[in-house]
Amino acid sequence: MNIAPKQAGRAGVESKQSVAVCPICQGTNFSPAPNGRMSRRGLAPRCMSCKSLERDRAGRSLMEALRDRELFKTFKLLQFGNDRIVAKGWFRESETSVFGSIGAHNPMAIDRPNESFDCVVSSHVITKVEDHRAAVREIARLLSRRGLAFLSYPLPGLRTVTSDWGFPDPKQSGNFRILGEDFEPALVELASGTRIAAVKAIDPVTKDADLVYLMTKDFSWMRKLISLRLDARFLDAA
Amino acid sequence: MNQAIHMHEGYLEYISEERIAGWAARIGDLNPVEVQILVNDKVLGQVSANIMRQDLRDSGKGNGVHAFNFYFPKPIKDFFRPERIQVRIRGTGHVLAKTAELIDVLEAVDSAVPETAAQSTSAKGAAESAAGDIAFGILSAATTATPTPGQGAFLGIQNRKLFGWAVLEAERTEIFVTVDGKVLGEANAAGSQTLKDVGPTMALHGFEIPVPKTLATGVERKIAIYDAANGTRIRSNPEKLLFPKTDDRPATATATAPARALDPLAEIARARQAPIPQARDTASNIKPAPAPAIAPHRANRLAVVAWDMAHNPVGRAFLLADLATENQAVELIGPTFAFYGGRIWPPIANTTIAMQSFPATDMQSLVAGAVELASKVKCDAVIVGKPRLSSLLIGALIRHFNDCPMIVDIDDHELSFVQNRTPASFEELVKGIEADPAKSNVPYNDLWTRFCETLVSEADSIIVSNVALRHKFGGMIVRHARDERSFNPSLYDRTKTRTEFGYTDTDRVVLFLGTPRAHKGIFQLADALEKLNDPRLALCVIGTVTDKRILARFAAYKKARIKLHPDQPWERLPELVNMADQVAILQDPSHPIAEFQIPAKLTDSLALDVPVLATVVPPLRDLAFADVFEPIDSPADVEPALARLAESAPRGTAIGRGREAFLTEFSYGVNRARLDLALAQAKQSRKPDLPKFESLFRLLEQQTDIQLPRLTNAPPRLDRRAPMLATDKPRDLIFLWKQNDSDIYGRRSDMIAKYLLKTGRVRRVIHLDAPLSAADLERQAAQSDGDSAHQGNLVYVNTVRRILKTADTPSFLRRTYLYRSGARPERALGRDLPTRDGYPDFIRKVMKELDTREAPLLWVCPVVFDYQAVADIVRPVAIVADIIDDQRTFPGDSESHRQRVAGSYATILQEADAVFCNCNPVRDAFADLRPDISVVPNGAELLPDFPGAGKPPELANFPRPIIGYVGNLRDRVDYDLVEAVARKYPDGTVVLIGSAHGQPEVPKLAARCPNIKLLGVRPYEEAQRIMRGFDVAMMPHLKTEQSDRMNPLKLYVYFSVGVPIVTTEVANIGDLAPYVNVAQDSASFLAAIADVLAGTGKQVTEEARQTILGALSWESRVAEIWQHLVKAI
Repeated sequence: MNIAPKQAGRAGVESKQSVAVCPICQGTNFSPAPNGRMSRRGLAPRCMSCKSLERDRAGRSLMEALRDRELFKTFKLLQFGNDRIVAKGWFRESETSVFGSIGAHNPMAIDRPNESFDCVVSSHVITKVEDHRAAVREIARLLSRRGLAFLSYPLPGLRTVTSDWGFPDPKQSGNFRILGEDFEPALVELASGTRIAAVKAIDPVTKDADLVYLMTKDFSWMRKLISLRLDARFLDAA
Repeated sequence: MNQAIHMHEGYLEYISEERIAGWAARIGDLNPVEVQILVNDKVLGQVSANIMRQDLRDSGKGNGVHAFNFYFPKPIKDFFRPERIQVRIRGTGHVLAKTAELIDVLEAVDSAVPETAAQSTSAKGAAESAAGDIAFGILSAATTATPTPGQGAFLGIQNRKLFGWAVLEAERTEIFVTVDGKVLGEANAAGSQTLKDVGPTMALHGFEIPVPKTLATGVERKIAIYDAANGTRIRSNPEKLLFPKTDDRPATATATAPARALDPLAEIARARQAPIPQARDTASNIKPAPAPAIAPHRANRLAVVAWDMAHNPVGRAFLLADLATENQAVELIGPTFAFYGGRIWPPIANTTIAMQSFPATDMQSLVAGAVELASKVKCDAVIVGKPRLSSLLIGALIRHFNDCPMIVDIDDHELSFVQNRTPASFEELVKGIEADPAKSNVPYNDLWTRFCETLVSEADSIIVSNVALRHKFGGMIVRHARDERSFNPSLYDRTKTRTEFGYTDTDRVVLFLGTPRAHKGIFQLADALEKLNDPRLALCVIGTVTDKRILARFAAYKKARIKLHPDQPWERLPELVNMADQVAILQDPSHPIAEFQIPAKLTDSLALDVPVLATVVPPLRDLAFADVFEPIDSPADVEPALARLAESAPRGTAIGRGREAFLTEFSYGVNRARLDLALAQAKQSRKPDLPKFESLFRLLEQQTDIQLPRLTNAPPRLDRRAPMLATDKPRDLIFLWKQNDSDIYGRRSDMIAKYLLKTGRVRRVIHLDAPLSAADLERQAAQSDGDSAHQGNLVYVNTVRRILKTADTPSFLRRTYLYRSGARPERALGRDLPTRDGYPDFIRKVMKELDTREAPLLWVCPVVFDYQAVADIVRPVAIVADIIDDQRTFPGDSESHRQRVAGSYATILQEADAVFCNCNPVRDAFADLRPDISVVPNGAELLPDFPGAGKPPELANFPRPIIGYVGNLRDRVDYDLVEAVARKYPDGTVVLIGSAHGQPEVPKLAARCPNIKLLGVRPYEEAQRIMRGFDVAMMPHLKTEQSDRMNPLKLYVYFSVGVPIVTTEVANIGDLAPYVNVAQDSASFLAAIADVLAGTGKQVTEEARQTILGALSWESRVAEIWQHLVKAI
């Protein structure tokens, strides 16, 4: 097969995106995502340097905006997975639990005391566990009174009703389900005691938006969202 | 009559003081009916029941487009009395019954009314009642008992402000309000200034928060108050509020009546003295008895416009409509042109998507139909399918009527289908229409299509179908998608279809679907098969061949296995594609259509997991990159590709690369998400103004005499500009001159700009001549080549200086926009020239260069066709128009140009804060457009004396007496009289200074009379110097309609120079008539010259001249102008 078009396409993509900068590694070269996937706007989404995708960069940009440098230095982080939504160096200490790897926490029942983490990051995890409700409850339980949790899952808001097939379908990237809009009220219920905001985070490279749920027991984080004028919607969890 | 009643159905669901709503339909008929609103048995108004309601549709009421909503012209008292208001289906006598819920509500209101102050009759009482109305109900807690912490309420929205009150714990007052969960704004609930007189609660705990225009959409939204300190939600009523459209109600309500903008249901509830229920869109919530399944749901409404509903271009529009139906209430609309069949394109005629169409044949029927249809459509967004005139016209009208975003969808480069593939500018369009009005009456002709491409830039958002189009137009890609549920290989029995068409499992079927034509590469396939001579390979052509030459060519193949089949039903498409082993999409890469189009069969094939063999053309480049199909780079690649196919294994059942690519790129799921995103994006990126559409609408108005709305969205004058005070600090002045001859003749415009600057009230003058094309500039130079009496050379030199900025002084900047002559790239003066359409960008650049903080003054000398665009960018503190002459009376202009000129005058004079002209006839001529025009005549300059002024070298060799004329040598000059003067003084000289362009008789005259000397065009200062050497300065003007509307400036110039003057008796010289020799006819003109030369003519002393000049000077004229201006603004 002639590969000439492929080369031409790549060159074109790179030159067009030369001004875009990855907020994680400052990389400026981007390629199509696995399987040749392009962003919703048709741009090459994968940072060729740090391999980040739209959701990683959107999340990172949001957390960068919210980050209080001094305060974060006193925080303890629990991160599910190796994504780069936050940098470990921001925190006093951190624990990383890559779902499915040896020694990883079970997201549905984490062997840690209540309110033992100040920052919890769960990106694209709860759809991969058997009981996503338990996973949300655990995040809310582990979150300290001053902390902030970052929760995201694939394609939020794209469908109204959750579709749960009950097994990790390899054709669906190992997900048990795709969560629909109907999960939002459930989220409020499961994370009782926290305030939740659905925030539209923007990937500065592709400009694609990703919906992220921020959970907190400290209302000052919500105030910060307001003052930053982020596109946020409050899910009543009081 | 009874029969008519039984044929209709509907219910009256909602009544308030302000509006009435319900639904009505003719049973079994999708067309909307008209309903009449009767108050006390008199018809108050009529409205079409044509609003789409999903609940009606869901409950089987036709296509759901049967709801109506009518706002009373003024609030209706006693609306709760059942006999007071009725709704009747027009022409039937069918009076709509009220729903049981509505009757309950009305009865409750009725019983509560005596306790309200609504029936107060005196003016004072009415005002008090309005104030009481606010306090009543919502503020009942505040008025009857002290509100407790944690309580709050919303009063409503007035003048784009949300009013309410809240009482917080611990005497805190900072709150924030959310709308649909999103923060609307923060406020201090410590008393509303606007509503402090309403009651103590509002005075102590009231708040007001601005409501952005984006929320003013007439949609009901969830609303909540929070304590900003801890996020505690305040118990507040109502929990939902209708955010009225900006134009739903006039913004004239006083502060004592803000409750007018509250949701009407809240008003009823207040009147009932009951706790406020959740405000709802009652029109959809109160269920009419026969339709119990109606749910309280209001979907977003989307209109998709096709440029023609009668042939295949509607296919893409239909696809978008179909894509959107899952999340929106969609309507597909457009004209059905007689030329294309005049009826809905059969493949979509029987679908369930709501459609509205109207027949069109020419421009008149298109515009009439478009206005009528667009005024009926109710939607939250409109998609224009393909940038053609009909779709863009309807789309822009819908955008205007609904105040919603307009998205333009491009799935082909429309210019691929026309001969001249360059976009046409507005000027080119106007010229084209003038040249061939009959041709331009066809809305889909090439010229219109070429112009329409320039309108794409005014879309609020753009969607395209492939990367090549995105590269050209930008925007988001929404593919030619297919529904993954029906385009699924597992749904079809492949073996059965193959058997039906005569193929076995061992065969490898290459499918060609569509009308076979040579440019589609069909014979490349046949040739390859012929060469391969492999019995396993079969070419299956499905598509009726009507061209005998094609049939003959197929018949010539002896070894290739080719089978031709006629057209198959559209519904069989997935099944047919599914039987193939390979689909070939071979295109001629050099063909303009292939440059931008993706054939839909690519999607079909990928959806059904059939491998594709395709030529790599630009629109497919990204897909080739992702290995979605097997690329064909040259015809030689076809044969080996087919040979590989022959050896390939049969298609399996596992999901292959094609289906995977389809699901992730071409499926409805993915593209629906993209479409939703594009719609959301469009809502956030509304263009404030559509100047190009505005020009188009005005042009269509002229063509059809059908009134179209104005699209300029400029805020009202008072909002835009602060009052200007006499004490204001100096501002910049943007001066728009209508021609390219400034600084040559010392015209009124030059003088006003110069002397305004001298007043010190103007900081800088930015003088803009009319935009000029490079070709026109060259023409100026060429025409004046060797002809000193032509002004072209001076225009050329001045324009070049302006472009190169060498004519600037620190406080007087001169600019001219030079653009390319056609669509092709062009360079001049060392720079790439922009297109004519780039003028607004040029103005932005000038403004940026100015870096001015204060809004400038805008001075315009009409006619300036670009005035609107400039005004919208400049955002001036005030607009001043100075009418120099009346271009409507200029001879030789075409009718359409004349109309355009008249339109431009109308716009400028209506928008200007102050309008000036130089004489009464001009004021009278424009009085119908602007009654308050101030007449400020031309002025004279106070020139310093300088030595040798009376002996200009140019005149040194001319025999005296020298009788001179300075001014443009146009048809207003009486050349016979000039000749008579020359003949009377054969030993003297007649000197003519000025441009003689377009006046061939001038050189002829000079040839006949050797003592007539043409000195050509001289710059103002030079001309002044020369005229000092005249013995007599003459003004031999004819009395014409044109001269009746002029205040001849040259007379003032002559006077300021101090030479004796003889003039014919023309209009508007009253200022100077007492001091110059005015002749009634030719004989007296010659006699007056003789008198002057003999020293007996009228002449003023130098002292008197100076006194007169003081009164007539430009300084005093400009001071007068400034006084008027300050008064006017």
